Amino acid sequence: MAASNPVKGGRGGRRDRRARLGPAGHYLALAPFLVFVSVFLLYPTVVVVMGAFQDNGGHPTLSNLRAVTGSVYADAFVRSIELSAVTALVGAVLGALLSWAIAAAKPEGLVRRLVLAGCGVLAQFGGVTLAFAFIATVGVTGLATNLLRELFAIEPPRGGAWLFDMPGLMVVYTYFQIPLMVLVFLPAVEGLRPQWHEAVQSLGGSTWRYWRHVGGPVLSPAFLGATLLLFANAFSAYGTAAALVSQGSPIVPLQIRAFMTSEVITGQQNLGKALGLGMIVVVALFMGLYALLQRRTARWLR
Amino acid sequence: MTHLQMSGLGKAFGGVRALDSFDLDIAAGEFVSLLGPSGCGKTTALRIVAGFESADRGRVVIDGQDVTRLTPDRRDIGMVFQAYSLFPNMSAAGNVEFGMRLRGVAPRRRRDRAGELLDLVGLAAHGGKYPHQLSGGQQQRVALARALAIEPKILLLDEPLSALDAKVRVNLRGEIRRIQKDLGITTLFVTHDQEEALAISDRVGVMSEGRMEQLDVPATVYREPATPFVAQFVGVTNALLGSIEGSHVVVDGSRVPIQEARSYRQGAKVRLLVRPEEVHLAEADGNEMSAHSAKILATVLTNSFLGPVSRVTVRLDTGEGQLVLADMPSPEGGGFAPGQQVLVELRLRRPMLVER
Repeated sequence: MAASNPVKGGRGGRRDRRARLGPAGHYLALAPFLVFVSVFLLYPTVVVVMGAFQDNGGHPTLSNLRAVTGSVYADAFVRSIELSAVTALVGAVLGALLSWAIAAAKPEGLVRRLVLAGCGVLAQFGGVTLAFAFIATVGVTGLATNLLRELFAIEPPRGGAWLFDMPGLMVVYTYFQIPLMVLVFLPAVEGLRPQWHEAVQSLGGSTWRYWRHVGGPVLSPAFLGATLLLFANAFSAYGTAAALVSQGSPIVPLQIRAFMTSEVITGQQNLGKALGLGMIVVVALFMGLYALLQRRTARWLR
Repeated sequence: MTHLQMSGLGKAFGGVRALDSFDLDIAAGEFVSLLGPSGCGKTTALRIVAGFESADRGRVVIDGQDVTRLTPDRRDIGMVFQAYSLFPNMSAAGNVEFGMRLRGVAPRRRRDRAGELLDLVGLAAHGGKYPHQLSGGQQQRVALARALAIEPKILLLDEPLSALDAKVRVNLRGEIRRIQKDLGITTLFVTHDQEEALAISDRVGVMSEGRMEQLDVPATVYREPATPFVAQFVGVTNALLGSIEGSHVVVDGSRVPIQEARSYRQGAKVRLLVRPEEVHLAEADGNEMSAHSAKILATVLTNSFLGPVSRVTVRLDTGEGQLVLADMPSPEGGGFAPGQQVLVELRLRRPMLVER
C-alpha cells in the first residue's frame, strides 16, 4: 500500500499542475503554433483575398475576377480540375485496392511493414526529385525510353515529350496519389469489423451481399473523403508541375507562377491573387466536404 | 423445434488443439451454455456450428440434416456476437429487417415483424436510432432481435453480455432467457462467466482444453462437480493441502474422514477441494479439540458481508497456516471478528481429492 502512494501522489501532482495552468496556460502553449499560422497562412490569405479585389493602384475593383473567369485563365482552371480529378480517381481506386490487400496481410508481416513504410515515403516524394526521376526514366532520353528504342524499336509518343504535358502530369501525380490514398484510407478498411461480415452470412447473405449492403456503404464516406483529399492535394501541388513543365502554364499554380516571376507579364500580380483566391475557394469547398464525410466515417468506424 | 447434435468434433489451429473429440447433444427448445476459461474451445465449438470455422473431424447435425459442410448462409442459424456487430449504416429497425430483406420478405411484412421484435426486446421506440445512438445493452437487444428475425432453427450466443456493465448484464441475461423460453428456440450460449451460465441455462457444459469435462443441470455442476477442474472452475473452492492416512486426509494435523482416501496410496500428498459453504465455523472454547478431531483451530482474518452470507477468511493455526474461506449465513457469520479464534469444521457433501 505504502509503495503505491507515491505513484498516486505523483500523478495527482502532474494533474494539479495541469489544472493550475488553466485555460490561459493552454492558449499560451498553443501560441507558437498560432503565431506560425497567422504569419504563414492567415496573413498571406488576407493579402491574396484583398489583392484579388484591388487594381494596381489599390482601388477596389472586380476586374481581376472578371479577367480570371475569361478564356485563358478559365482553361487553366478546367485543366487543373481535370488533372486533379483524374489523378484523384485513379489514385483512389488503385490506392483502395492496395489498402485492401495490405489489410488482408499479416498485421506484423514484413510485406505489410515494407509497403506501409514505402507509402509513407512515396506520398511525400513530390517536387523536383520526382520530376527528375521520371525524366531520367521515361523522358526524351530516359533509360526506359532508350531501351524501348534500342531493344524493341518502339518510339514513345511524341518522342517522350508527352511527359512534359498534361498526360505526363497525370502519370506523375498519380505516382504520389496512390501512396497517399493508402495512408488515408487504410485505417477505414481496417475499421471494418469481421463480425459484420459474419452477421451478414449468418442472416443468409453472401460475401457480395455483405459488400453491397454493409462493407461498401460503410467505407463509401471514407473513400469519398479520401478522394476529395487527393483532389485537393493534386489541385494545390506546384513543385512537380513546375519542374516538369517549362513551356507555357497549363494549370493554375503555373499561371500564378507566371504572374509572380515572369519578366514578360509585369504589373499584374493582383490577377495572380485573383487566381489564388479561386484556388482557395475550390480547396476550401473540397476540404469542407471532406470534413463532413470524415465525421460520418468516424461515427461508423470508431 | 430443432435438435442440435455435435459428434466427434476436432479442430486444431497450427499445433494447438482447440477441440478434441467433442460431443454435445442439445434437445429441441433447450438452452445449453458452454462454460470454460479462455482458450478452452467453447467459442470454436460455437463457430463450427455457425459455419465460420470448419471442423477437422466430426459432424454437426441440425434436425437430422448434416450441415458440417454447409456455408454459414445456408444453415438457418441466428447469431448474437460479443459486441459491435450491428451494421452502423442501418437504423435499429434496418438491422432487424436486414435478414428478412435478404430472404425477399415484402417491405410491409418486414417492417411489421421488425416492430414486433423490437417490442419483444423492449426497444419499440428506438427503431429509428442508429447503433451509435444506442447504449451497449440496447445494441445487444437489437442484435438479438436481428438474429431472431429470420426465425432461425438454432440461436447461437457468443458471449453477448461480456462487454456490458454488471447491472445491464444481469437484466439482459434474464431477458434473453425469457425470450428463449417464449419462443422455445434451441439455444447454445458461450460464456466464461459461471454465474451467467448457472443462472439461465437448462444445462451447463464445462470445457477444458477442447474437451467437455461435465455436462449437466446447473445445480449438479455446482454441487457435484465431475472432475477436479470443474470443482475449481465453477464456484469458489478451497484447495486444502493434506496427505492420505488410511481413510482420512490429514490437513494441518487434523484428520478429516474421507472414504475416497482409500483409493490413494498411504502418505500421498493431495489437495482436498472444499466449497466455502461446506466450511462451518464455531467459536473456539478450548474443550472440543483433540489430536484426531476433524475440527481445526483457526484465526479469523477478514469478514465480508455478501448479502445472504458472510464470507469469512480464516488462517489455520496449525501446520502451514493455510487460508480457508467459509460462507456463513449472514446473521451468524456476521459475529466473527478479525483476530477471533474459531473452530473450522468441514461438512463435506461430496469430497473431492486431487493428487499433488
